[in-house]
Amino acid sequence: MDFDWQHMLIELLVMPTLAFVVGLVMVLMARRLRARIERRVGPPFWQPLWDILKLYSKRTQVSHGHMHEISIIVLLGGMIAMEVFLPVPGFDTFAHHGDALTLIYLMMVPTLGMALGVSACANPNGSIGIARALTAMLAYDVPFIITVAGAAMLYGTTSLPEIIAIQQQQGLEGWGAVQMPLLALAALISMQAMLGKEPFEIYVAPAEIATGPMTEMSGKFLGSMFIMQCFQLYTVSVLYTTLFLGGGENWATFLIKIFVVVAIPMTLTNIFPRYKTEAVVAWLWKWPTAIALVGLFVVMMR
Amino acid sequence: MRPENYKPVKHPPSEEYDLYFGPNHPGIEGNYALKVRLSGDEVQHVRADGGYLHRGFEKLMEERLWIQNIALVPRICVPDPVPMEETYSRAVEILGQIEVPERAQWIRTLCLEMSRVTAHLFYFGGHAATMGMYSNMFWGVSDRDRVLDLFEELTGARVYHMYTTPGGVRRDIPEGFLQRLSETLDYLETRLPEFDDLFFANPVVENRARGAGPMSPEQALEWGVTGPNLRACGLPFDLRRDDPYLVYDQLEFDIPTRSEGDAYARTMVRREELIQSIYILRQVIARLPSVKGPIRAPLPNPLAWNLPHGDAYTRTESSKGELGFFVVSNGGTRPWRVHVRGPSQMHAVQVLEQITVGQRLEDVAQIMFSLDACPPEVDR
Repeated sequence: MDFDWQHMLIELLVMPTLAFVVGLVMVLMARRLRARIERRVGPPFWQPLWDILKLYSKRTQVSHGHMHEISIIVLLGGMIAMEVFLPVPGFDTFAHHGDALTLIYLMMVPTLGMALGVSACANPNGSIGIARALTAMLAYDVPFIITVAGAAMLYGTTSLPEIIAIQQQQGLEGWGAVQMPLLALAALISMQAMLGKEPFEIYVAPAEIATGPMTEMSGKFLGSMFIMQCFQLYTVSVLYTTLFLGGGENWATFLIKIFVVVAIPMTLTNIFPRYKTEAVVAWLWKWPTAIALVGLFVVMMR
Repeated sequence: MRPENYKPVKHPPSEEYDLYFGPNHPGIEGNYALKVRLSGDEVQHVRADGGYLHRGFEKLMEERLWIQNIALVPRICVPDPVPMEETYSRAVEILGQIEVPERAQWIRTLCLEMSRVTAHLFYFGGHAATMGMYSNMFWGVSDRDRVLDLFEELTGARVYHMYTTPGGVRRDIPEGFLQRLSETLDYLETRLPEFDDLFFANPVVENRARGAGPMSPEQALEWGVTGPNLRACGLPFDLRRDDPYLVYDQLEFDIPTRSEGDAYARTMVRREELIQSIYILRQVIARLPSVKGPIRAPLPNPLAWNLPHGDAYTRTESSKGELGFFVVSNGGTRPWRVHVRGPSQMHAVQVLEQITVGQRLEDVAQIMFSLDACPPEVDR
């Protein structure tokens, strides 16, 4: 395969930047949506950016050692690596070299990075938070991996650009959400948990563990967590759009789709409190897993 | 980069660890802390740590004129300040043998129930927030604001009204106020089904709150529990009916109870009490226009107002439980001693320390909030 180094370099720079900018707008949308449901006005347009700039402009007062500092690099590095492997209109060179399995692997890196950093802090709130985050990951990964397996079986490939191409060739009827609605539903529920939104928001839990992993994060560390949130929203919504909504034919439809996808968990999060940890695991291993298994069975029977 | 005075602390290996809740914590309506000892997720021991809002109310009251204390007492409980003014005023009236005009008694009852509505709305929001449901919190606060608007119109202040004074109330009901109150009550009634859908009947809320921080009726009596927390254990004790004051003996209302004694029961009792308060307010709205007369008894010059020797204990059914004021006069222009019997003292210290043990870390905040304690009432 020929490598267009120039194009790849541009993608390496453009795609994380693009993901960050779109993620910022998603954060704004999520905060405005939440505010409307809560009968508030919500933050001004630039607020998510000002928050990050403010945090990055602060001096770090306390560090918890090298592991704490490296963990932030691991966290952001994992996120940035993910962004370049996601296929978006006009930029899918790296996506052709990686696939859904690469992304599933990379999606664990930020959480593990966070775990490394938080474990260096010795704050029980952080340790409990990260233990909860890893437990939640074990819970939501099961239905999520089944849905990815189902999509791979249906389309006969794990390559994300190829999955998009197949869906787009078949039109609306070819979309994953139409072809395998049960898997699409299971993935939507997994996405809610993946984003750490209620009722699966167990690892931040301000009233229980004082924001968990973020307890010892201040200044630039907290700013990095904010950036991670932008990347996380973008990644999950693009992955869902790729697998189930035919990807993006162009930038207009792509943006509409990913914003609609993000709006779903952001709305649902406002009508639930959080479950306890064991209830999250039990629920995710029961309902979305069962739905996903039935969906997988339906795909296998075709 | 470590601070210059950084010294690593070596702890012996242990299955147990300490976690500090507060003093700024969404699990309680003020500054209050808990030192929680945990083994895994299970609470082994809890030590209440108050004092962050100690302003010496009781001592300060000894330094102020009888009437001046009206500016001080509402600060003892921010979410429900009216019972403080009313209970203190009633104690002073007993000492001074002052007859409160009937119209003032009806207006005081109106204010007490309005205050109960605001406190319960605040509580619903707070309890939901401890479980990560912030929509309900903002809804509760915004609906509470509508009642606070009415308080502002009536008293000139939203929270610290200083409206109930010894002898009556400061001013009469404004023109059209009862109509506006009635409309607000209509609005609150239309909102209740929405609160039900979002919070009270939410399966996740039930899953979390049922069985959290249970208390038996015997334990509740032994620990001095009062108010909605007592009624959530199945004991229908309410001062408004069992030791009536003001005009409560002329009003019809039910005493809602639940038998479970857990956090969910405490919340549901308050939900029912909100409905009962609306019912009481409607009766007061219907009756008040026909009660004519002055709104306060004439008082002497406050600077030379000497109350006779003696003491008085008055008690009120506040939204938190039995609120009592024990006021002693030595014949001077100021109280000789005032003791505030705040229900939060029992709920936030001995009860909380007992019922949290054996519970899960996830439930500590909601158990703390479900008792609806008011830290300045503990600290006084």
